[in-house]
Amino acid sequence: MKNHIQALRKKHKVTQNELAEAVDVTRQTIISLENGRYNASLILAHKIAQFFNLTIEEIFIFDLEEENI
Amino acid sequence: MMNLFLTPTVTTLETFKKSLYNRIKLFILLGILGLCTMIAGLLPQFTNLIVLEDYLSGFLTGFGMTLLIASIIFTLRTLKIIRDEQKLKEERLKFQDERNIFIANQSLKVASLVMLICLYIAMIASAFINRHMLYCFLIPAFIFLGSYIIAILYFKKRY
Repeated sequence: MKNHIQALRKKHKVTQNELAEAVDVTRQTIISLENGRYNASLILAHKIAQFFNLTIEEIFIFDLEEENI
Repeated sequence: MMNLFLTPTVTTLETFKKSLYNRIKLFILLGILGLCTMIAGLLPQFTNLIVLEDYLSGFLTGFGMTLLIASIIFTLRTLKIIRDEQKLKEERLKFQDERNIFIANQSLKVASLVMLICLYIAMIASAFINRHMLYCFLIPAFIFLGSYIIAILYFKKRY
């Protein structure tokens, strides 16, 4: 699933480590999220949205075709 | 692998410290198991109570000693983590990270599948050799499938 995490992180001048600590995951998880290799759980998506003060839909791009629905 | 024995839902550093102490108890249990295995391997060398092949006696002794040494190393490593605040934070993050939990669960799934396939092949091959050998592979397969069915029924009711 594509997302805007990297762009938002750079906009707010936050490192991967800082974001990882803020949302209680490892830096590797943030890297995998930014690369689209791993899909966040609802709780993690919510934590990231709260961190950037945005909604989940503004951060994560839900593509119906990509998800085969 | 630790997620097999300990639930990774830990919220605070203090809760994680408690779970690490539980982990140490598990390692001590492992060490006792190793010691018992070692004694079982060494007994035939010193008494006539049990008769065991040299190879099997050596295998049990070696396996037991490996378990004992591993339990000592893991216990000391865990105590080192508990004493260092920074290492404790890093370890807690690694333990409850959802991606790590996902990877561990996927790996367990693959390992179970591989084990089942190998058990099946061994079962078929042993049928041509010896009946007792067949039972040695058949019984664990049944236990695996039986416990899987029971777990599914339990979790269906719970969730």
